[in-house]
Amino acid sequence: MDSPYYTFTASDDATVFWFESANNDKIVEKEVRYTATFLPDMYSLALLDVLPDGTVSDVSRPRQGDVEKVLATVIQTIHTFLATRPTATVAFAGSADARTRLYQIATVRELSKVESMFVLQGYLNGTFENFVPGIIYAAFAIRLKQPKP
Amino acid sequence: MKTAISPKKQVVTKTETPKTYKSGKAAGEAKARQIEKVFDGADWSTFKKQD
Repeated sequence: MDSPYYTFTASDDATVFWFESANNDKIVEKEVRYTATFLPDMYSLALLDVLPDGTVSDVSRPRQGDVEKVLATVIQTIHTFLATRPTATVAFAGSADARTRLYQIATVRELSKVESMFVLQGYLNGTFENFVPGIIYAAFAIRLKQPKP
Repeated sequence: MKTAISPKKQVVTKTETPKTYKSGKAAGEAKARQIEKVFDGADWSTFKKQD
């Protein structure tokens, strides 16, 4: 996880993270939010843009040109989130196919550096499988590797 | 006189409906429901809980 990433702040319970995407003389406030699902010990990940009027959007395209750095920051928040919940799983899907692929590209790049720490599964056609680069998955599930007894 | 009529070329552009939420919490809840829907009907025997 040595790719450049933005400094971020976290809520007290480490479920919400904030950082500023700053590129091309423009600043966009980002929020990464982990929300419990009805599935046991599984949390969804939302990457959001905080708009000037205070609302948030999951599909705005600020075209900051810093997608890689933003997603590297998201990976950092996953690590922080899971450090406080070692048995939890974080699941995420893109808000559109293009964004899912962006997640996938960034995820592969970052996680390939820390394979010893995370288990990453891709979800496609009803089944989970160990992540295989090159396959476009509908969603992803990531968790910390459990220490060997 | 017969006039050839060519079908109009249809350009289909896949667009994404912008989703804006009043708060991060509302957006987070929407994402949680989305991922539950994605995983609906999953074969959980393929889900690795432990490494």
